[in-house]
Amino acid sequence: MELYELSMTEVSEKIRTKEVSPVEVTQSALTRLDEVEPTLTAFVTTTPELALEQAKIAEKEIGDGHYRGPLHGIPLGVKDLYDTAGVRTTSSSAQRTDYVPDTDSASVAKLYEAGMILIGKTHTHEFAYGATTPTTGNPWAPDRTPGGSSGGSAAAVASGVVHVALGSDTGGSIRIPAALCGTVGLKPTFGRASRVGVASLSWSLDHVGPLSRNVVDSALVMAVMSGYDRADPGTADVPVPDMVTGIDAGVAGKKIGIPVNYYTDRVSGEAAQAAIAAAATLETLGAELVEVEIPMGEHIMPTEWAIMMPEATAYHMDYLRNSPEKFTDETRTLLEAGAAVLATDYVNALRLRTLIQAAWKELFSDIDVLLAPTLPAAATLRSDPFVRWGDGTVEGATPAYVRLSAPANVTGLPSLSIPAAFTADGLPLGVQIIGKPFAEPELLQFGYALEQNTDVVGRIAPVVAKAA
Amino acid sequence: MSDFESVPSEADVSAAFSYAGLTISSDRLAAHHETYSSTLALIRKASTPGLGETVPAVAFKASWD
Repeated sequence: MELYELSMTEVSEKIRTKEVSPVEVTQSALTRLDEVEPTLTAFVTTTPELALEQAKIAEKEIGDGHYRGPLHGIPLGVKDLYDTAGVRTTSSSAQRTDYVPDTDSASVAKLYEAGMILIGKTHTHEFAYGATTPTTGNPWAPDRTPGGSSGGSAAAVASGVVHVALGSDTGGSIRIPAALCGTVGLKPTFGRASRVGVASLSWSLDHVGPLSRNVVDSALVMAVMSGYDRADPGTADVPVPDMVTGIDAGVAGKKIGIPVNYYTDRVSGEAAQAAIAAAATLETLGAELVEVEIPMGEHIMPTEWAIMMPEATAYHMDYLRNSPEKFTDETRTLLEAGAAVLATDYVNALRLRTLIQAAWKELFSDIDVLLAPTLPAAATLRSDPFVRWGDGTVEGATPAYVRLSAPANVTGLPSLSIPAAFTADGLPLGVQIIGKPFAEPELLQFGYALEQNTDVVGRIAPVVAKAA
Repeated sequence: MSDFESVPSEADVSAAFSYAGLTISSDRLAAHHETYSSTLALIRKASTPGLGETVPAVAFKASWD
């Protein structure tokens, strides 16, 4: 068995006990990268020289007795929205082809401090404005989308190149690719982690977090990324909990809300069944299932889009006025539309957000978590990014995927996506567990319970090339 | 609360782009009008009646810390 095939916990333990060195671990990751990258194109930029340099430093530190912890010497993929000092950061856009930051984003700086090693910068749907990442293939079926916008990170994790990669989530961009590629993905509570140094899509809705092979990997990385940052006014000045200790506490006695609306509308049979099966598993472990009605469902998508679009256009206004031809046509069209949004519609969406938050607080008064399909359907073909429903309607992949993930962005509640099943065609499906504000440790306990009691979490895709 | 339905015309969108300082050719406007109008119609639903005294989910902080 190759090192990259071991779990991160196993690799970490071998590094701690000096059975293997970070250099060997990094070389294994780079070998796997060479095997799959020609098929997947998960990375904008790879950094093998930097990775080996960082690995040699980690090797020396550990050899000298300065072990930093379980992330020391572990390879990392970083979404190309995150600034990385001295490493090109393009946001997968021609607008930033030559942009090389001087400083690291807050999250990257913290993970470097924990001893992680940069393998490369992963592809995003251009500036995170979409949910398909057209540049990249799905490791389980390279002719299909990995989802987005953190599609490169999901592909890198699912194919085994790295155990963890960073994503960002404005309408589902961590959880969508996690579900479509069969990885874990954690969108934390709004304000849990600093966005400083990460290109913005929407200041009011952006979150940063990890995608990973196993649940404990996300727990370790999320804990390091978390914390108040005065440079990000969206961060909350709340304590950062230990997200690993007690992760195996179980779910007995917990109440799980099972939606009877919204998350059941236009959902494929296989996706719905995957969520039902996950709920049943948790019920056998002692949790109680409680049917709940999602409040204000009809207002969620107008609120999401009315906040996101004008904020995105405001961020990109200089590019839009001076070099619009450098955007892909898809991104340019959305940014243009954002320029025509009335300020009153934007402010009213922010007012609706207040009402939605209050209604969801009431919803959670009787439950601990909500469980729902992460997505309404599995990965679409890259050449045909649409979902076709039984009644003949056709839905674009991005709006279809965002529909079930946006509620956690509008409410700011934490949401963990866990692999739940595979379709008859061998494509991954996910289930999301949404919790109360800053209840990430509780969500991770649910995810860990599912991981330990099913056989779909932690798989590495074989990556067999097909004609795109 | 019920939704306020409004689908902007091509002329409406063109005027908004002009006021926003964006130069959009007539060909481009026509080619993408369906996307512009359907997106803006969805967003208009945020201006739902009955919001009353509800305050926006933002809070400016005057402190310097």
